[in-house]
Amino acid sequence: MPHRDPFANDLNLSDLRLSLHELQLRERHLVGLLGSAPDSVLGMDAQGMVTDWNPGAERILGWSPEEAIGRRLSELIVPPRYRQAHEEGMRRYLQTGQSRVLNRIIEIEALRKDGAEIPVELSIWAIGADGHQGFGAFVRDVSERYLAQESLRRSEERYRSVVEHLGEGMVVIQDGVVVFANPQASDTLRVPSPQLLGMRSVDLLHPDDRVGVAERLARRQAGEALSVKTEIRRLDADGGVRWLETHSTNAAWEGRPATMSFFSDATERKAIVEALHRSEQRYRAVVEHVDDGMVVVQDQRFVFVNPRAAELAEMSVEDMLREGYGHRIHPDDRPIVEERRRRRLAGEEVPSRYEIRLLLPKAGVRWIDIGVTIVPWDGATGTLTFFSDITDRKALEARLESTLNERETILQSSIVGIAFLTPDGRFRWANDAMLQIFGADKDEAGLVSIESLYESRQQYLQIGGRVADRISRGEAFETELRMRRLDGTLLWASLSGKAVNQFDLSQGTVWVVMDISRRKELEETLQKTSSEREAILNTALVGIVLSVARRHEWVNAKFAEMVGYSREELMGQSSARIHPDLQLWERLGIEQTQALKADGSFRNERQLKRRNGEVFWVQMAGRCVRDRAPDSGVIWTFLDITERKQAEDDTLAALRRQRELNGLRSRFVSMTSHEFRTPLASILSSAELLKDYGDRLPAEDKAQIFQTIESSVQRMTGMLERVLQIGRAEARMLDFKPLSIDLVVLCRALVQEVLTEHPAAADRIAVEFPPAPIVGRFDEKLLRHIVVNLLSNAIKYSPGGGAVGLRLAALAGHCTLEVSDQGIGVPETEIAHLFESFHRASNVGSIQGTGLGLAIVKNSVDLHGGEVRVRSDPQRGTVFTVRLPVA
Amino acid sequence: MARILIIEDEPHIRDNLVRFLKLEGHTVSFANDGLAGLEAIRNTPLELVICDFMMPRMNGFEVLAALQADALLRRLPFIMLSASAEPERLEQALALGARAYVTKPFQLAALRTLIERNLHPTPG
Repeated sequence: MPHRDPFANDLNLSDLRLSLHELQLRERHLVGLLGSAPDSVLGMDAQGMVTDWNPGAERILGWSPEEAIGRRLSELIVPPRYRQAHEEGMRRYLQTGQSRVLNRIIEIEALRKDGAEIPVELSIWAIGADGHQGFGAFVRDVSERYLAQESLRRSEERYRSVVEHLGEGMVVIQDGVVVFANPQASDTLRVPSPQLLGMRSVDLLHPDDRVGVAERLARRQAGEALSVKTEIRRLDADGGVRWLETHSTNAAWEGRPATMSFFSDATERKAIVEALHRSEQRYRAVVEHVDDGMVVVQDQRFVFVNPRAAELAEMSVEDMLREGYGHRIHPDDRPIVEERRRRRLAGEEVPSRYEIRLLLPKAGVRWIDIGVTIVPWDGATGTLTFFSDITDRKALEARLESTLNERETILQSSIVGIAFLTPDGRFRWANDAMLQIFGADKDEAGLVSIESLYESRQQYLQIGGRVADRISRGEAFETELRMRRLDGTLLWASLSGKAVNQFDLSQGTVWVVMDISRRKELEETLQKTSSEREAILNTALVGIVLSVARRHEWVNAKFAEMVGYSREELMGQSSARIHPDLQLWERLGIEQTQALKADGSFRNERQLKRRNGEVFWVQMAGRCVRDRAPDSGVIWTFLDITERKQAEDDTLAALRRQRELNGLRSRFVSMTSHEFRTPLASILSSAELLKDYGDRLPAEDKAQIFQTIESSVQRMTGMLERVLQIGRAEARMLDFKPLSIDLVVLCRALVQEVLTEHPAAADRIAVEFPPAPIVGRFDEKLLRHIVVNLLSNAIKYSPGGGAVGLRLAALAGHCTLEVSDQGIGVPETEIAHLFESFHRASNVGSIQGTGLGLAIVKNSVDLHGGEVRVRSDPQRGTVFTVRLPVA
Repeated sequence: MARILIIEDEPHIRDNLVRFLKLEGHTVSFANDGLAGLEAIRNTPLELVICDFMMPRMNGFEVLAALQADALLRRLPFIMLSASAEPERLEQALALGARAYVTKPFQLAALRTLIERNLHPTPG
């Protein structure tokens, strides 16, 4: 079906002609426009063949319209690597109407006729009308833009590398704030780059420099051209100050005025300059204040004189510079000065130091030590002369001379022997006393070698070795030894020697010798005497100690033996080590010092500790060496009283036991009087009644009386049994024959037994037994004692009635048996004695009892390895709890 | 013969004493403890009291002290029985006004002599 013209029905022919004309006009316009367009405009049909090719295309891509039109576009301008994608894209569009490149500007490379590739901007659009599918494309050469971008990038890189690798720090400051900083700036300022940007620049500086900097920044900001090189101070975060050498100038930053500063750390340079400065000052100070005079002579002229030189010559610096000092030299010394100068000038070697006298203007002379050296001075040579005042030294030398003479006299007349020996031990000089000590004649050459004065050659060699050793080390040698006089007799001498000159042993040795024979004799006597005394004290049977400030100055052998240390270990040691504890030692110390100060003596009994830790009793007595002055020392004597103490302790224990027995006896007596006399009274009265009134008594009464006798005897037998029982228990003779028994069954039987004895209590007893049996190894007889006694007591001691409870409970590894009542209770203070034999609480009143029941209970429980406890409240009653192990 | 009260908590002794005194021709009454005894003394005409020392509620000494505090009963002959042989007890009883202090066990013959002596005191 032919395509229908949309305009056919609506337009007349003239209109159509007009329209056609207009269209043709417009086409010409367009072709003209396209022909003169700088960009290439091309057309392509659905087969990919070029249909249009404008002059711009020829210019950019190299092909003329004639060459291009009718050829496959992709072969003309698409680089081979894109061709396949291009063909596929077109096919896809033609099949699906979808495209990834249509109507978009794409940057891509295009192929020129000459084979070069150029960067282009490409935009493609589809032309579709009347079944004619085609495409148009704009291609713009962007090579130049690429080049510009590339050069900009390179320029930036160059710039950055320059700025960043600049040896100096560089910052740009705008509106007082750092807007740019290179890495070196960050390093120099010691602020990390990110932090530096945005900082107020003045905050980086020392407060004293901030005002000036801020002012210059403001002026540059206002547009004033200002280039300043200066040094300013950086105030570091740690408070340190460094000098920065800066060069700041105007710069534009993002189109607005700013300040650009280059800077580097000048602290070190400043420091060096300052050090130099100081060194120069020091040098000047030294020269001007040195104790030596200094004078520089150049070409016969005095070119430098320091104040000290002028002072020594007693001239002014100015006068000395003008006149020199030659006229002041002592006439006697002038020849030598003149001669030296002449020889020096003649180039001869002359001593540079000598001593001369200066004439002083008023009177007298001054000895001067002169030293001359050649020095460079202002580029030429000069002589520098040092002056030292040696007047004092000269005076000293003179005095030394006379002193030496005096000394000789002193040495000579000294009462101790003094001698100078040569290094090989020969006498160089000896004073009179020395000669006298060894019996040598003054006029004879008596003392030759010291070797002959030793007792033996062996002694000489031995001591000589030690002497040489000490003297070579610069130390003095001292000893006491036996020596021999020239006549062969022996003496005790104290010998002390040292090198005359420690650094020059060839000068020999000096010796001081004293005859100490008499002293030695006395010492020996003393030693002998004190040895004898010590022997006596050591054989003493008591310990003896002399202590000062609680330290053993001396102890005898007995004392050492008592405490188990050696005498050497004890002497010099504190007495604390022989006391069992430090606190006690301190307390006793205070006590005994007080007593010693008050009475001069002290006596007590205390425990001491032997070396092996054993503690023992001593009786000790001390007396001050000087009256009531413990500080002067205290003599202590010690007696070991351990045995006596032991005997005392034994006696005390025996007494205690005796008292217990007495108590037991009196309780027994009291029990027997109450508990035996009563049934005895019944029996006796019964017997009398039967004897005296038997014929008049009705048979019934008689029977009752016999019954009375019987039950009274039984009562007494029961009591006897219990007494025997406790006797056996206390003698540890109670039988313990455990058998496997069920406690529950046994207790039920025992409750019945108790009820037979106390029928009235039947409705008071409440039992609580566990459902399961409690089987263990128990002694039935002992358990009977426990249960019967506790239950009978509970009934007996609750005369006012009240419930009596028996509760059995099985627990892990043991069981408990609890008997409770609401009776009279036990006074709290007596609970501790409750289980003692014959003991009865004070509140039992007339309730009969032997005081044995609980004692037996306790023994029976103990034999089972259990325990019994009681808690009681006199108002509420008592609870006994027996705990027995269940194996 | 005389009206005699026995105060004793121990039944065997009490019964024997009652039998004995009745056989001796006395009119005998008894009480089981001190408090009941004192009550009986106040409500019964009596010529003599035999009283145990250790008893529930009120002991013999307390009964004796109560009698001594009563002007009407102070002179009533009072014989104390006791299982305690301590001399202090004897002295205490006599000091309180008991006519005799008899230690258990006792002989009935000796008790009879004591009763007769106190019922018919010899003049002088």
